[in-house]
Amino acid sequence: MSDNTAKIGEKTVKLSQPYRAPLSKCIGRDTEMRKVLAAWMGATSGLPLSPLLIGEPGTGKNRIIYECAQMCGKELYIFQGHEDVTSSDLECAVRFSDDADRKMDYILTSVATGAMRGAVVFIDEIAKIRPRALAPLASLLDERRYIDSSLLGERIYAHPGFRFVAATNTTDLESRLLPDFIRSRMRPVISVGYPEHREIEQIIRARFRTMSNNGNSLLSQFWSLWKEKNGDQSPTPRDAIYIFGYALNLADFATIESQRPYSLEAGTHSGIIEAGHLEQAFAAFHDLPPSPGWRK
Amino acid sequence: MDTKNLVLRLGETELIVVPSIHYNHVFARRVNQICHASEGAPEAIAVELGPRAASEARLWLSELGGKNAGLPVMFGLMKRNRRIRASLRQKALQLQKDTGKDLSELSPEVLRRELGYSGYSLLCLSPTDSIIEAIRCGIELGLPSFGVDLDDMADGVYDAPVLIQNPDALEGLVDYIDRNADLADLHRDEEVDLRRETVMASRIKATLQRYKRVLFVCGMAHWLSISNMLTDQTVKPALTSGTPERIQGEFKRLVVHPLVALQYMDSFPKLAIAYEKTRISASNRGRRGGGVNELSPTAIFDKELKRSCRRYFHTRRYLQSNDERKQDIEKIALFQGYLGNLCVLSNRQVPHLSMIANAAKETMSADFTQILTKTFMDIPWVSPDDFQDCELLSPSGDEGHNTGATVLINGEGRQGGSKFFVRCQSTNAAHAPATISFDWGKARKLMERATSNFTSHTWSPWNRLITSLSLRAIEESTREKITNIHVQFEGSLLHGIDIKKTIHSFSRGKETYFVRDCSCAAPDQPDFVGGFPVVWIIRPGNIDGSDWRVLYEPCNYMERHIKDKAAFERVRAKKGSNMVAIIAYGQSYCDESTLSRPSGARCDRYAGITIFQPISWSNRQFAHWAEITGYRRAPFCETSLFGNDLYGGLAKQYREKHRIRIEDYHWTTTMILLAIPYAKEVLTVVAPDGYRLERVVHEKASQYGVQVKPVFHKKFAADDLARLERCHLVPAITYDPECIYTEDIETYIGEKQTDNLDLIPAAVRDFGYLT
Ligand SMILES: Nc1ncnc2c1ncn2[C@@H]1O[C@H](COP(=O)(O)OP(=O)(O)OP(=O)(O)O)[C@@H](O)[C@H]1O
Ligand SMILES: [Mg+2]
Repeated sequence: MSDNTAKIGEKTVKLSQPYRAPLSKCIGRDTEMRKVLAAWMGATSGLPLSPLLIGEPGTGKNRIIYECAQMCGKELYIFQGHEDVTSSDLECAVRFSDDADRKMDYILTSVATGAMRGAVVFIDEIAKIRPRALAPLASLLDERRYIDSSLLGERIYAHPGFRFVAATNTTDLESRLLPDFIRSRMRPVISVGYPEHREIEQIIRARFRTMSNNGNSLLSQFWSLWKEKNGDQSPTPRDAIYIFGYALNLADFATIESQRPYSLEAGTHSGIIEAGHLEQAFAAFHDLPPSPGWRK
Repeated sequence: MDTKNLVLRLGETELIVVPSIHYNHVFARRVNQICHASEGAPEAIAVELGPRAASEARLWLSELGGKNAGLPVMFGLMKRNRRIRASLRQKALQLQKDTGKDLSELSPEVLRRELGYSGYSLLCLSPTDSIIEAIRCGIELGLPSFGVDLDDMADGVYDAPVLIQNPDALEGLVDYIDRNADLADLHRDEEVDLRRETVMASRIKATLQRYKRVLFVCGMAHWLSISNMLTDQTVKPALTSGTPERIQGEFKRLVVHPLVALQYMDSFPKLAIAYEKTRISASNRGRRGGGVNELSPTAIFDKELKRSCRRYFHTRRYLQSNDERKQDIEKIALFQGYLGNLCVLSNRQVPHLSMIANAAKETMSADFTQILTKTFMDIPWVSPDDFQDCELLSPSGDEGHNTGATVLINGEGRQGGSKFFVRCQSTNAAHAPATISFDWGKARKLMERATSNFTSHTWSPWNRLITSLSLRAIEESTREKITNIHVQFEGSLLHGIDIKKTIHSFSRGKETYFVRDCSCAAPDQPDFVGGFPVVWIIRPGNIDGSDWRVLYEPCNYMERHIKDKAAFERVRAKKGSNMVAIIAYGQSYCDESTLSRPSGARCDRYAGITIFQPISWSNRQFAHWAEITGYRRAPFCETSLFGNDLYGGLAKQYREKHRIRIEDYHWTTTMILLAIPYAKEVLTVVAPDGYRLERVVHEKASQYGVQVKPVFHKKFAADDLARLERCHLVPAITYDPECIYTEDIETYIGEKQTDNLDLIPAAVRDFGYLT
């Protein structure tokens, strides 16, 4: 049997693939990571906790989880929540087989695969999933630690190493209440706030190494433009990365403008971000609808 | 810990060193033991403080020593900062250029964020701090003590604290320092600290020229660097300068608010008390304070946790409580396990209070968290009432929203001062800002009194005007509603055929005629309880420099008049400590009268106003209204003494509770949206003739089952509208039961404070007094 399949009861199932996050240096977030790890460490009662991370979009919830999974040396299985998730999406699915000898393949979803393999299972945007669809998690997250798959007609037991975490952004949590049976199983509730300005700067420096010489002046330009457009609202790492990333693209574009055909692949350019690029990037960024916060 | 000390021999002399974690009782205890040893006790003491700070602390500690057996918590000494890091000078200049302001005019938040500058430094006389302990021993034993650090320095910039091993669990100080000093050393700010360490080394050398055996107490992070310089011949002894001359007023003596004090204490406040109880003072010289008196933080922690659980679970209130509280009994084990794991990961034997509070908040109900923190905070704090000559340093945010900023409340008259940040003397940032709420009992009253001194109040005649105009608006909108009542035609035409309704019925094949009936015309009394809030859109354009303003009735004004106090306290804890009366959109108003403005008075010019209840009322009437409406007809919010945190707090509430984002729409639409969740059936919106509501208003309204009814300006006198725009915010002599103002306010505004009394209908005037 290959690494890609497993046997549950009589049936052979295909497994989902773990996610391998390409990681740049993670800046700060020690406290939050410590909280996640403390939850996973298992208590005297023997049962590890399943934390729920709450924060505004782009503050770095996913990032914290990737980091923690890596620190424990565990595989990470991510399940992306959305409105159309059904409960079987959390257990097992079927599809027509590519194998001529078989009609159907059972596919164990990332949640079930991760649980079985003793990995970290992460449900992103959990509040987007409708309450009924979350039902399989009830048994998985308490002392039973199994999922009953109606499709397989089998019970899938979690490996002792299995750990669970979920994230949601603040607005989703307000509009669609997580059902009580999930809420009460998800502790601690860890809120992920905006990083300090200093940390934003470090994130930018770590990401965009090309701006070494004029880094200081670009960053100070960034702050003054940011303040002009957003007042006292803090940027999220994503805001900052987006703006600098786009500025870099503009800079790159300037270097190839005269070439045909354009090459769009990364790594082939050597643009240097200048003040003007940053300004244009800001202008583009702010044509988008505003992100949350009380702005004038 | 074994009793071996860290001793550095330099020629004929000995330097006994206690490189410490600030505020940690283990190091304070060690200092105490060294000083009280029968053999080899030091002849002089040197500490990591500026010479002035050290002698100021010594002076005050010796005054205090006379009065009490133990050192009460928490006193502090505060001093202005003048220095900015050399490397930031350029940035500081740029900042002045960009903002067109002098550094002194910039807000403390900006200075803190941009330049890492805090206006003051604070030295807390924390009993468990080794430096404070050293000075106390010096006093008790009559040993000279010297501050060898710089008195003036820039703020250091420190990354997240390094996880230094917890000393409680350790055998020996010497081993401990061996293992951890280089870790701590990573946590230095070379630019600021190197200079300090050089000065310290050279001043220690000078001290050693005069005394053969000296005790030196410093932060662990400095020790490696200082010890290298001590053996380095190129660092010369400083020229001795003797005791520095005292500069009157350089240091302020403070009582420090418990929530600020926490950051300058060992893991939790009880440890300070326990330390004092077991401390050996000079009278016991020669007795070794060895094993018998060792504190056990773990035991104290366990005891406090048990005490909290008893207080929480063993009450009738718990047994009758709702589901969330019921879950607590299952969750308590999870909480303990989680907290234990956090300690393991943070290299600590016991958690510090902010860890405890945060972990509770993350796993348990809010009620449990509250009782838990209350229990842990429950020690006899020094009250500012008992030390009238001290000033009071208090957090500027409201309780539970500690932003790190502080305010100073002066001793005399307890008038408010300004907001600023204080620099933490230590680099041991164990206490991350926690959201701990704390009720300071008697002292809270005092702070409220102090803050009310700089609260301004809306001008009563204006309150009456807007109330009466709002009542008129409600009357107008309800009358329209009534004219729309249609009844089936039964022989009398009443007020004419309702064509629309009739056609509608015909189109459905029912041949019924409808007539309009106004016989039940507007009642004499508009329903003012159901009719509020009322939205006033006075000038709908975009006005530069306009901003949202919130005026409110503080809960502590109402408190006295509330009947169901328990319910009130719950609301206050849950929703916030102010009931919003008005949300306005506008700017400051300036004209010639600005020049003759009495102090504390200001005037706003509003383009729009939402009024949530008749504001001509006394505190008692506000209280009555709040109770009979079940606290549901106006938002509540928190506020800080200064700045507009409030504005953010309210924005967040609307976003989270009502899914209304302030920034998404034109301000007029926003203004209406803000009122909708608090309207009963009809929301009256007074607007310029022809004003059209945006679609989102209708959507939101139908979601809340509210009908939005415009009433146009033409129904009101232009003069009244013009007066409504200008809202004076002025100081009052008293605000209870109602505001009374001085005469210069009357002169300045040009109205009598008794004006407009006749505008208020009897039912509104007497509301709440007849029951
Ligand atoms: N501490 C950090 N150090 C380095 N990069 C970070 C850090 N935090 C966030 N980032 C980067 O910022 C971006 C946004 O982070 P992430 O996707 O984790 O946010 P999120 O909170 O999960 O957002 P959403 O709510 O939209 O899912 C990513 O590119 C991530 O790598
Ligand atoms: Mg995410």
